[in-house]
Amino acid sequence: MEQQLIIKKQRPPVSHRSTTNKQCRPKKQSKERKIAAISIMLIIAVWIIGIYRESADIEPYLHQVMPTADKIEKSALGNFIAFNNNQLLGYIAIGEGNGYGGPMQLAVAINLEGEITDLTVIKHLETPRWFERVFQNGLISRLIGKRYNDAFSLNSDVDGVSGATYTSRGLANASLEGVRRLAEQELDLDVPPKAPTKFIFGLPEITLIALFVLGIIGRKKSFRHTKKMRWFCMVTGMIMLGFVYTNPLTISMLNQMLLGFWPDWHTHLYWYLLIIGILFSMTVFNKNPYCEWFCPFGAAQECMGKIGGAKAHTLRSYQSKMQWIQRGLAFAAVLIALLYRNPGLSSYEIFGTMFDLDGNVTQFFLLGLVLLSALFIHRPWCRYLCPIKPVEAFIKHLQNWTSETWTKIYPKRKI
Amino acid sequence: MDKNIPKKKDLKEIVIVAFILLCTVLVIIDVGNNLEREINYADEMKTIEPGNKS
Repeated sequence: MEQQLIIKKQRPPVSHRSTTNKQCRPKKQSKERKIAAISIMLIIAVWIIGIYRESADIEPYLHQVMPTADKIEKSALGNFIAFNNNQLLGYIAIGEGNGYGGPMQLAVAINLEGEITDLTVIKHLETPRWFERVFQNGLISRLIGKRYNDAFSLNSDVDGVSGATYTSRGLANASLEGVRRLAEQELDLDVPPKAPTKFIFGLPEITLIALFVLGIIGRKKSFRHTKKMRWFCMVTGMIMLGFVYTNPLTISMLNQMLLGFWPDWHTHLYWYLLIIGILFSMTVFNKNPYCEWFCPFGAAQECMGKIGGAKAHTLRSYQSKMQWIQRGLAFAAVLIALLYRNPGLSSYEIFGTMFDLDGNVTQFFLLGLVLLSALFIHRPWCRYLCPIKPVEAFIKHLQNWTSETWTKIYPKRKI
Repeated sequence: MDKNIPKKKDLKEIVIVAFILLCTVLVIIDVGNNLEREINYADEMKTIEPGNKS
């Protein structure tokens, strides 16, 4: 009893504590706003530096695709002509296509019959691991020998690489664009009209829309079966978006948006639905159903948590420091992507390792560690490592800041 | 018995912090490897001379 009294005396009264919190809040807020402003300035600065850094010298690539050429000249139409002892060998064009991470450039060499003799990648913005997979699968060598009048359609004319459809399609389109241009402009051949871009709307897109709708409905207070609905969404998300399509939200998608690499909506509708869906629900409903309701990796962690009886531990003394580590990682990932103008370069999520069993030793070790800890800690990746959480918090912080500033300037009007 | 409760909690907290730090190191290694590969690829391309296919 005496001990209890001593404790009571030591603790400040509730009213006093709440005023201390109120006094601390503006200080914390102003510190966070300063950091947010510096972050925005840094992002802009690195974005500009990235643009100036990007000046690929294409000459080595031209010699790589025409190794026997001793002279390569630029043609009047912007392509390249290769000679050996003043004898015409063939032509080279820079073909462009759209991959998963953004635009890609290929040096396409053809002979005088309009047949591809060699290809090399000048620039790509794919996640290095995924690109290596396509490279090792021999897609480039399968494109060699194709002619200007071939269709280059994936899986019927050219065998794509499963799990890397966007990258395969980007490479096929870039080589097609290059060979067609050379045949038409340099060889003066009769090139058949290009097939119109197919609008891709299938099961992945339908599943994503359905999950967003269920996520928004399920989070409504009036909805009775929230828990059941959440588990249904989580399991569906894990199976469909994770194991079947392996297309969860990653930091590379946000980097892509910042870099202005907006893909063709006919072929990348899923990308638009995911980004717009999250931004829309965050601004309109002030909630992001993706992370809590159908993120495939979040669901996998929660399944592990169900098995091990995981609890949501809150760190008492290190919470803030760990939060800043998570923010620091996400911020560094964005800056690296902007500096190298490659959205997938700094993507450190282990989703591909989990759902496609594709990764290196470090990634498998990290995945094992996260899944093992998910048995005891509630969603450890989401809470301490995922780069999406700090980005979401940053957007919300900016939203509140804008709204406060607006009401200060125009007290009667609201956003 | 009461004295042991905060110690257990502290230990749990230390384990979680160690886990986060280990994961952070792994993430940095992974991104570092990606960057190294990117820089090496760019350097390789710079060294290609006419008539040489690497």
